[in-house]
Amino acid sequence: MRRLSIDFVVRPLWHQPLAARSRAILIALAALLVFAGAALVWQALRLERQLAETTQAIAEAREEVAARTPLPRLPLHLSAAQVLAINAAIGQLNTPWPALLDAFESVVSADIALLQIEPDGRRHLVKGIAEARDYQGMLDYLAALGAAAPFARALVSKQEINDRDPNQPLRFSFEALFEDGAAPAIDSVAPHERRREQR
Amino acid sequence: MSRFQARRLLLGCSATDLALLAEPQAGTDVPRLLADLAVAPATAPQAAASAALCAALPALQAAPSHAHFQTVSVTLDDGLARSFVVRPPRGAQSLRELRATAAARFAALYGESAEHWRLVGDWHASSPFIVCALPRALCQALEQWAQARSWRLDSLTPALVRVCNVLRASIPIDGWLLVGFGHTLSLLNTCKDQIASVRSLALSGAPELSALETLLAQERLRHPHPDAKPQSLLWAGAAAWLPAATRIAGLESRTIHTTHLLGGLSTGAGSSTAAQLALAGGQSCGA
Repeated sequence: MRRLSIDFVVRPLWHQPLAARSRAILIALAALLVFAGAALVWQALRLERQLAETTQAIAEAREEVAARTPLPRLPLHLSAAQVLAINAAIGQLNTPWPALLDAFESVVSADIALLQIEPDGRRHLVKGIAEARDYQGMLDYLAALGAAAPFARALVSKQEINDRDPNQPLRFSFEALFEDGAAPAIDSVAPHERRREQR
Repeated sequence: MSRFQARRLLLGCSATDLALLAEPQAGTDVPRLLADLAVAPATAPQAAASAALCAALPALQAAPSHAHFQTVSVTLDDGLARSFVVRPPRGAQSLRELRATAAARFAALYGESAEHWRLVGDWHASSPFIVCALPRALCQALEQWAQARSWRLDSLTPALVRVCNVLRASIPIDGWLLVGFGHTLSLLNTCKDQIASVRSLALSGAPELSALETLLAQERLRHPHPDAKPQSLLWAGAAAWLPAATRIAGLESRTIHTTHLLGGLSTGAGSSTAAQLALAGGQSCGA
């Protein structure tokens, strides 16, 4: 038979059976939970205060960095005429003179007198003035020049008979197009505007 | 002062006398009677006996050399208490409900309110349980008596409860536990290892075996056993009239004298009912 828990003396809590102690255990657990909750709240408040302090420090550091950072350079604004001029200059500078001169030298003949050459880097061509004994010599010269690298073709733009010369040579102007796409050029659009368009 | 000086006192209270014993700390010693006091004639009714005990308690003095004792355990004669079985109402969940049920049961059984009684039960919400009632005045008198001597009241319970707790492994699953101290016989009926009924009887004198058989037969008629399982009897206590027969009223029977469990009383300790009750308190707390 089970033990009889009958006693007219109210025993101390730690002497009572578990059934009678359950309320005390619950109270102890509740107190423990309250303590734990208070600790959590305190911890949350501490973290929140630390977060505010850190945010404030970051803001101050940003202000300091901004104060120490020099102002950015103003974007370069060029007019269309300036862009064209710069591109022309770059084109002139990028003209592949060695290859062009080699090509001219390779088609040199006794029937042709090369009087003048003038590059046009923007249009990738070389304008020239030469004299030939006859039409056939002119055509042969232009055909040979157009076939010599880096020229792609050569066209006559003007011709006339030089009457002042006793031999009456055929003076002609020509344009020889060369293939060299490596020459850089400046657009009329500013770099920062180009980046913005790319985005 | 002995090295094994006892630290706990055992107080036995019967309807006729009080006895104060010193419990030994070591097994080499035996309980010693410190004080005893005759209270009232044995024929006194329960209420008068309680009042007489309350009046006599202040006169029970131990020698000043025993002031170093710390706790006192009190065992009461079952005749001073009212014990009954309460069946918890269906769906009872709180201790308050069980207390109210016990108070109602007390009023129904004894025809008076439980206002002047202190009710303590082995509270259970799903099975019948024992409730013991003691007059509040007697409880308070015992508490004041201990407090006046700077002793802590460690335990206060009827003899039936003490014996039940000491011998609970030997109590028949189906049968009867009969506890006898002095002229009080308490009968505890068990059915399927649960308490079915409890009753305390005040005997007019030392009963014969035949009287006990008759009394037992009457009790069995009052509480018929629902099953046909064989019952057995366990007699326990310190009364001299406890039967030694192995078969009583057709039931298997055995007897355990609680006085022998603690080695008995020392010479001069006396063999009064109160001293035997006090000894039962020592066994219960030591078990």
